[in-house]
Amino acid sequence: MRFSLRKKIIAIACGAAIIPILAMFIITDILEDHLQDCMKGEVRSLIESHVSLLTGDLYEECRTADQLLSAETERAAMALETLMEDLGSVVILKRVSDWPVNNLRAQGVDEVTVPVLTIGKKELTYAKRKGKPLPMLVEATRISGAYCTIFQRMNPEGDMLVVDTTAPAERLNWKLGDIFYSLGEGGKVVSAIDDVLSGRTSKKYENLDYGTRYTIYIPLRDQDNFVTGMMAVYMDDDILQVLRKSMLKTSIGKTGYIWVIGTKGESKGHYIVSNSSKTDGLHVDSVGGHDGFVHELIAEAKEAGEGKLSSKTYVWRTGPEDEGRDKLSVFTYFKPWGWVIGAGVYLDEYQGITSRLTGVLDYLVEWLSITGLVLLGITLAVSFYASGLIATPVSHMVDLVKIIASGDLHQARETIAAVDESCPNARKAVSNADRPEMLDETGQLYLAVKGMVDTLYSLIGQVQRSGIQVTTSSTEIAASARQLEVTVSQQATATTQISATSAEISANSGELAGTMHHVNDAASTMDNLAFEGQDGLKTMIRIMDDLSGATLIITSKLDEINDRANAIEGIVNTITKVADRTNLLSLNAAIEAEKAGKFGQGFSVVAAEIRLLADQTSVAALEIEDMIGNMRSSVDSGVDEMEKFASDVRFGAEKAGKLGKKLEGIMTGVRELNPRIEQVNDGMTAQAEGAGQISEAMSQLSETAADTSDALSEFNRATSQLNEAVQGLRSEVSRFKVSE
Amino acid sequence: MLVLTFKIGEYVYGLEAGTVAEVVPPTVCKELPRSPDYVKGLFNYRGKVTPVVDLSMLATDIPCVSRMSTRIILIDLAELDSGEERGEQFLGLLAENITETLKVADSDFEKSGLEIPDAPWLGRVARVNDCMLQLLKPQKLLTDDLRKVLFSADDSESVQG
Repeated sequence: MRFSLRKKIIAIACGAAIIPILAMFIITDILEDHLQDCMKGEVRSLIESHVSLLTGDLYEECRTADQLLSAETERAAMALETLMEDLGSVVILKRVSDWPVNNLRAQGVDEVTVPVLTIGKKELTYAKRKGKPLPMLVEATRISGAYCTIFQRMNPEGDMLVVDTTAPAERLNWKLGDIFYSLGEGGKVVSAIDDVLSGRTSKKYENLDYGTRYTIYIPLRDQDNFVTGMMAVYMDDDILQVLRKSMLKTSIGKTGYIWVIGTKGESKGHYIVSNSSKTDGLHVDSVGGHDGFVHELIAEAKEAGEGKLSSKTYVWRTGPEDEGRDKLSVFTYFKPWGWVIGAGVYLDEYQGITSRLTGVLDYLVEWLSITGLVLLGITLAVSFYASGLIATPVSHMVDLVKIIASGDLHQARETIAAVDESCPNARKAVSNADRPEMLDETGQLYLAVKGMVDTLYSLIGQVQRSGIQVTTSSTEIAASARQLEVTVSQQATATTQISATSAEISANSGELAGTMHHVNDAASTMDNLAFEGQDGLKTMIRIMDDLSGATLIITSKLDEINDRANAIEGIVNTITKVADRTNLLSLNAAIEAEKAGKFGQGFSVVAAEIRLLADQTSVAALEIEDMIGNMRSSVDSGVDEMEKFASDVRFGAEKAGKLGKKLEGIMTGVRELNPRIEQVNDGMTAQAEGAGQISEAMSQLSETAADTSDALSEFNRATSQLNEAVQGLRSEVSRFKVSE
Repeated sequence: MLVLTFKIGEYVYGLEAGTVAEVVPPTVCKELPRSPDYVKGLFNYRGKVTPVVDLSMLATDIPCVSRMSTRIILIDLAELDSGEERGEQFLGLLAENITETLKVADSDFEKSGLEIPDAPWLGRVARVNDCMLQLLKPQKLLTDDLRKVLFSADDSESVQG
């Protein structure tokens, strides 16, 4: 496929317009991806930092709550101890009392019998203390807000029986009749009792439902300083409840929430705080989609250590059929309570920010497309115009050069004239021909081609004409040479003939000399005869003169006859007129006679007679006229004949005169002939010698002529070569047409 | 009756001698500019200005050949129009070969049977000496238009006189 210059220019311009736009598209695309990645990272880190902050806060809150609780509990313990000292000493009496037991390990027994314990002389028996705690305990609870419980040692192992308490009878509180066994599950000695039995105050976190209770156990000694029981102080769990509720209420983002999973005691592996109160206390495996996935989280949190934040992104499914959502959680481990505290958000909620930013980029792409299209349109229009400026002159030039190449210079000139008319660029070029700085390259090219065509035209024309001239000249030269050749050969022949003739002359000359003597004699005889002829001629001339005079007389007579005939003709004319008048008269007379009627009848006869006469007269006149005409023509021819005769006579007389003079000349010539014949004789002898010399010279000339002939044929060949060369040149040049 | 014969082209025509005033030789006529071609001109006839009509031109558009026998036939206007006074006004007719009169009986003439609108002046025909002789009606020669052209001036003069 062939692309014209114009299409190429347009293609380049469009390419130049499109490439930046395409580059912009690519850059925008890359930028979009990059931005999206950046955005995701940034958003994620933002979310993470936000969630981390929240988790940190939660952790701090828990720690603060814990410290507050422990401080409060210790304060309450101190208050209780002080009150106990004020109350008095602890004494074990010899008496015993029965206690109903709530959690007896031995089967089938629901009562124990223990010695009666008194504090400050107040007995602590079931009957006395049921629903009526010691005033001192009530006082301590009132002061500190903590629940106080008094245990009595039942046996050396250290099993403790609750003998008095201020805590309300709820599931997790110590109640009257509860036994705190010294051996826990698995046969281990409970550390708190162990501490108390060895006389130390024990501070313990006790793992309960959703959290931990900080309890202080104080040994209770009797008068013998024997650990006979203990006092337990622990705070009401109001603070924890408030904390838990505030956590429940807190939401992160739209649906994000705080979760807390226990790791100790009863709440181990259970949710303490979740997205709603409904799922609180459920086991993690029944909520999370994956088996053991949450346990991994817990393990990771524990591994990281207390207060250290960890983050994890995962897919969270609330059920097996649930598709799940991307979730980011930041969590930490709070050791005192064994809580794993975490805050989680769903990432898809932050999708909006990214999509808004991407939307801006899409808008950019849209505008880029519009701008690109507009640019492409403008570029197309401009390049179409500009390429027209360049391509049209070039295509003209190509046509022109093709025509020049084909050699038709005449058509090339016509095309140039047509282009001058039609192409504005060409017009501009022609009008600014003397100011080349005003012209562009195409204009200069056009002018150059135009000049070239003109020059070539004149050159070819000149060459063709010159060729014709040279051909003509060479033809003429060849013709001349051929003529010359012919002439030379003729000359050669003539020379040979002359040579032979001169030999003959030489031979004849001798004979001529003899003949000349006879001639001399004959000349003498002729002289005599000529003299006699001269006399006769003189007589003849005289007679001729007489004849001439007679002729003149005859001619004058004939003229006289002619004059007479003319006179007769005049008379005949008159007669004719008279006859005519007479006829007219007779007519009128006849008419008048007719008018006169009967009286005119005689007159009418006369009129008829007159008309008859007139007719006869007319006829007679006609006859005379004819005769006169005949006579006049006869006389005229007579006169002509006479004039001819007279001139003949005159001519004859002149001839005779001339003849006489010639005869006289002959006589003189003949008389002079004698000595000349002698001279001729001498000349003849000399001529015979000369003829021999001529013959020799002639043979030399003949040789020269042969040489000349050779040279001429050589010349002829050269001329024909020249002619061929010129023909070749002409046929070459004739490829160029300079006319139609 | 006596008939004055003449020729138009090859053929012989005639006029009743009684209507003819006189036959005169042709004279030089004063031409009338812008007149019809067949009006030859005016000439002086016995002291009277007389118009001449070329009969050959009138009939065949070929003018009369100048010969001795070519003459002018004069007709008194009184012959054409009874209202005119005799001997006062004449009309000249130029024709060829006017040399003879013929005596022909009136009964020899027959009607030609043709009425040619452009030549109403052609009259009866007689066979004489193996030739056809046709009479001219001089009364029809002078059409009203021609009469107006040729003689109206005289009328106005006479009115003035």
